[in-house]
Amino acid sequence: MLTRVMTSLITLIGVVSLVFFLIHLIPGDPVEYILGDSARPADREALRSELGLDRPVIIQYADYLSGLVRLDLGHSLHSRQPVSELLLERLPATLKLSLAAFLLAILIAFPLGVLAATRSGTSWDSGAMVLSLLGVSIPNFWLGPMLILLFSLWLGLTPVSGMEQPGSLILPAVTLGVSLAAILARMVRSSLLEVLNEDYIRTARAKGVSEQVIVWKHALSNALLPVITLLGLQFGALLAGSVITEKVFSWPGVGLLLIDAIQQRDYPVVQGAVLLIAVSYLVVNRLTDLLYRAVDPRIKVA
Amino acid sequence: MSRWFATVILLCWVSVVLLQPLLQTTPNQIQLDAILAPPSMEYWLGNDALGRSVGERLLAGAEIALLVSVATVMISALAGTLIGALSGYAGGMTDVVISRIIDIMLAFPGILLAIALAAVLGPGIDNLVIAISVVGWVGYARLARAQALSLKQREHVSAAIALGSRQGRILRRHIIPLMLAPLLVEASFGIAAVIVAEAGLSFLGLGVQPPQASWGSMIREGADFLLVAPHLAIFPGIAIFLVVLSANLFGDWLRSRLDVRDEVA
Repeated sequence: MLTRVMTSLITLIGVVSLVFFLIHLIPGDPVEYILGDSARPADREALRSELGLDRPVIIQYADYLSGLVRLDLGHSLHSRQPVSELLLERLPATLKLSLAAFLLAILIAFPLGVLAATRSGTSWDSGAMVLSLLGVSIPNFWLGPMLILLFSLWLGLTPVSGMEQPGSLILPAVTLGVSLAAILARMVRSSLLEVLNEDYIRTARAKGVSEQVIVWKHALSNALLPVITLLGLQFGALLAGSVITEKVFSWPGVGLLLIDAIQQRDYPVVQGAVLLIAVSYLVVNRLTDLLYRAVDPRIKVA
Repeated sequence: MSRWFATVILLCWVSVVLLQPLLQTTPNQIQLDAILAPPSMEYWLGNDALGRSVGERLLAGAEIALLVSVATVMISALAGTLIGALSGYAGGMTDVVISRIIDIMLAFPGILLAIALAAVLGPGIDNLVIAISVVGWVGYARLARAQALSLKQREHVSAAIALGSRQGRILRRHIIPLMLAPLLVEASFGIAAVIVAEAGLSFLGLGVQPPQASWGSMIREGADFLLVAPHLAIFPGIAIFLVVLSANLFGDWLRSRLDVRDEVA
């Protein structure tokens, strides 16, 4: 337990450092990049010292770490607001979108996966798996515009973008959730199939327990364990995947903030947004890992 | 059935790219009298907001997709396999350090790292390949490490050691050739993943730059004209979807095929 927390901490420090060196050690001068060729030398110097780029990299790194501990991520070059404030403003929208996509994926994937596993080998099974393959292969930056075209422009059922109007959550959540639903359905199917072949299921069948109870009570509770791990990993991936979906729907979350900051070359904001998403991803994964261990007593023995 | 579908699509993709010089296409040619022209006999797949042929731009995008995916998969598979095999085979401190780096890379959502790298490196095809490769090698490394760990216990490796083979030779001749099957499967799924990543980055404006055509940037440009000219976004999406689906099907087929061989051996 303690070693797991320790390795998580080391990985966390690694991720935090990776973000820093990503922005600072790449060849090319950010000041040049931000101001362009025609800026006055005095302005360059001013920006350089404002960004702290005139100091040695090690000092900058130490500064960055001590800022992190105080949750100080610097200021936006564009709006002058503190980066942490900007991120906090945007975080609820991203969480709302990711949670909606997550729930939607679970609602689609479980019935589909159970259907495929209990009727394995039939056309129901292959149909569900074809659906799942299609879901994995549709890129979300295309699915989004196509859903807008169909439901917003042609049928007029949902808003095109933004998050103020009612129903504006539906299309972004579907866009983000479809690939997760597809992966999850496959996982539920294979995990359930494996459990259905075990001896205790045969015992239950021999006792005359109804097929319904066997699937939903005996088998599914055990089949769910590996699915939990996947869910945790995938929720983190949703946070990252929301960057593209937010861009498609102009959804005012952390992802859209990141893309806008990249276009404005607002490095402190880019750094902060990448850090926030990466750290959330890591934390969710490690929490899932712990949860998994708590749920399944067999793992402690091993 | 699905195997033939995948093979036909992938062959079409490659041959279209190879035959392109013969077709003498002009994907960046602006035609003011054909702005947003819908698909017709004259303009097969219609024209975009600058009157450029969507069909010819799709072909140009096919080339970019092929170039970027093959280059990226080769670079990341090669680097990942070597690093992973070294880590698994050498063990000790080398393994601890490399494993920790792999862990950190895996703790970072891939698409986010690629976006951040592409943003810092600046747009362009070479930077696109670099950004996706930096993310991509980790999967191969993890796979190769696990393979090397189990392969080095095999008798033929002990025999090679007993015969006095050098470490490099053992790795090159006795370990790496045996881990090719799973790596090949990983690489064919890798093609699909890289195409999506390339198109995604280009969609965000971080990849291929105008006027050059990429399937991703075509969708992005088309998204502004969804109501008046839906064909701009529809066709490149279908192209990505078909190729990615085929690469995934091909990977599935390869996996079942190679696993069968494993059992026989």
